[in-house]
Amino acid sequence: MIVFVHYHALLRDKTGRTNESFDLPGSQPTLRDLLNAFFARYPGLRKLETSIRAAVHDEFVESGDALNEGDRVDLLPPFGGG
Amino acid sequence: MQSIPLVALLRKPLDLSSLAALVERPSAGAVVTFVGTTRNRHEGRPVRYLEYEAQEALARKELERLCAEAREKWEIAEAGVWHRLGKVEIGETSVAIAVSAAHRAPAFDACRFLIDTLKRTVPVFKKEYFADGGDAVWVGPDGKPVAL
Repeated sequence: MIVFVHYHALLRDKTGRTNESFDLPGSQPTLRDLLNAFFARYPGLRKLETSIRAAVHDEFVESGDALNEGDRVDLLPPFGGG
Repeated sequence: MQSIPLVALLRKPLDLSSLAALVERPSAGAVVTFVGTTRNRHEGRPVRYLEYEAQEALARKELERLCAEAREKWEIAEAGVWHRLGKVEIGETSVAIAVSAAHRAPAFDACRFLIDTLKRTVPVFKKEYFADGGDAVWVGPDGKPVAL
């Protein structure tokens, strides 16, 4: 199942891209599955495992939430507003 | 001139008095405001300028949710938050908050809640560029460079 990941800020700098697709195995993958695939692809970013956030269609999602075919997933590094 | 909404992400200097005027109500005897400005040093290094970016749709939504939460928790009339995006020079305002209320205490409390909470929950990202020629760094909610 294909999802489209958009990288913001630090994640864009470190991956060197603004977006890429991930093909996740299984019929009902979750955000956790996507993050596992992401950190396997970018092991140098594993320190962000506990701080990275994600959003699907402009709503926050948590690690157990299901992803669907074609979802646009924003991966968000630690926030720095204010 | 088109009026700016109570919650906005803006790529131009923030005018606090315009935001304060937006939250004024005839019933409100207090308007509390907060501005965050760009410091010229960070952990001993001279800062040249900052750059802010955001997941804008989500950031606006989260700021609106925080303002609604503030209106539920405290007896306030209105709350507004503007956050700057793009390049921000030293001394410029990066965030402006205004809260109106019949009385000052809930306005202070709600203003404090908004600035403390938005740092943790709103997807805005900050990069600091230094005058010492060193690498720019992304800064996290604790004000420290994001560790990798």
